[in-house]
Amino acid sequence: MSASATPEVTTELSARDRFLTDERAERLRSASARLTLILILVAIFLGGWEFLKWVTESPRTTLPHFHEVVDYLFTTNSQGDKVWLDTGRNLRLTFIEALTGLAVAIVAGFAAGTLMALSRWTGRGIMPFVIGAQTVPIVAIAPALVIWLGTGWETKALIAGFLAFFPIAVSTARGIGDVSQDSLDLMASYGASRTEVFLKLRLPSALPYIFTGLEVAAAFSVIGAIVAELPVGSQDGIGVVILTSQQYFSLQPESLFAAIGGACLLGGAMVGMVRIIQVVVLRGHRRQELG
Amino acid sequence: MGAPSLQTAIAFEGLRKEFGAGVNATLAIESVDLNIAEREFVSLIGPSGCGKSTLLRLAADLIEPSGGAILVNGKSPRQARLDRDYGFIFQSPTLFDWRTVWKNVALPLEIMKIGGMNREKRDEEIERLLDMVGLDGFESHHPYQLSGGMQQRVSLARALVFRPSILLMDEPFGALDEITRDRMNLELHRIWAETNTTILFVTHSIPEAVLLSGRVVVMTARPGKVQEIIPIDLPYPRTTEVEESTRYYELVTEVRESLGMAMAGGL
Repeated sequence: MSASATPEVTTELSARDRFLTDERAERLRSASARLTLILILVAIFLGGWEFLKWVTESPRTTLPHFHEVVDYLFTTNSQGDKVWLDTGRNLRLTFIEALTGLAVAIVAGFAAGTLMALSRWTGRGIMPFVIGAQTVPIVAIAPALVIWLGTGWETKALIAGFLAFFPIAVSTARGIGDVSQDSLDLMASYGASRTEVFLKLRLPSALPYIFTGLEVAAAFSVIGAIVAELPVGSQDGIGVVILTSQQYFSLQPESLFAAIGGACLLGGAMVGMVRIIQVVVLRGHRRQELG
Repeated sequence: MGAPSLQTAIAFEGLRKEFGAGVNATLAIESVDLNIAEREFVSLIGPSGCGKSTLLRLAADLIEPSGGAILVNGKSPRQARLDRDYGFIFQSPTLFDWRTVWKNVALPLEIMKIGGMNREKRDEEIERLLDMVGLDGFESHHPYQLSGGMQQRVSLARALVFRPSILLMDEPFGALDEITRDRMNLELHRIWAETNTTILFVTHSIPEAVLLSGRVVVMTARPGKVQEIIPIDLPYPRTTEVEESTRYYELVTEVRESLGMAMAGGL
């Protein structure tokens, strides 16, 4: 830190100004560095794709050119829709399912995590269920859930939420429980109530942990929604597109790659959304914890 | 200082504290009798494990005694805690990273909702204290942007902001470098003189204890007992000149010898 303790106030002020300028410049540098890194990674990815195709001498029916996948998006499908529009429509549904699931998981996971951290008995009671829920193979249970609850989007949101619940519950429990004894003693010395200790100490200090779990949960919710769309009976969603594309792979290989690309973008968008909220919410927290 | 006409701020009577139970029980403090008068500055010094921090935590009602009695401002420690009679300062600054310096200092006021203190008066008070501890201009900084010494000064301002009559300080400057520590000591002494606060100060630095205190309480280890109470008859205000006087060195030696006997007794 450039703002070290110096006896004269004047020195301290200039140190402070210097510190702020440093910080702004550093933020700008890191932003442009990140952008450059993303461009380099995209170039490596595309180069690797085409290199792989060239080395293995794959025909279009095994691995199409990247530009063929992009071209495919602008063709018209058998229903007379533009492919990119149709893909977008399916992605939108999967997005709604994942987002709803994530919202449910946030509420349930936060509640369960808080109970696990604060209440010894209720927490011990919940713990086996939380761990049990995580060990259930979602691919196996999803068809059963679809049979029981129907093929509606709510079922898929539920499965998405089920998958997103665990990382949120665990990170909340970890964060809420991880406060120093000195901080607790400090609050006690002010005669603070349990609610005040929670709102002014435990919750704000847990937020960086919770957001780490939330990032994982956001990616999981998309995976959960896609897996939930795979069982027979579903009509829409990017999972259905992936399944159908697989069946027609030898005829139209671009279709599967387009669907996979769309699913990746959706997952990325969900995680990105959480990150943006995180940056806003955690403005005051240590920057290291923002990752 | 410590004149009998003044009221007792903290009284320990036949105090006993055990940690654990059964065969694993360790006796941390045994039969401690000690009276600290209002506006007195008393240091507790002793080898590690002598229970000086325990004594402080007992007075703060952060832990409960196994036997004996404590009175803080004539009340039980619990009542004194709920009445916000004391401010506690830890060895680590214990600031909340997500709060700015200003909001850290405002924390006790937010929780206490002190009657008759409107926002304007509150802001004035925070400003005055930040000024007092020399952190003018750092209001919107976060703790991790400050040096250790500055952080501890924020913690001092936070403890003073609700004007407690007693300050309980647990090795507050122990983690600071020598130079910063010296300056903080003189600042603390000035603040003590300005604010009519009673200070119970835990330290393991002999020069620090002698420079700041009206009395130095030397404790023995395992179990913690009072070995000797040494009155410090140095002139006020305590300045760098006092630190260079012969009497100061004599007193440092006296405390050191007493501490040596306390250590020998504990071995």
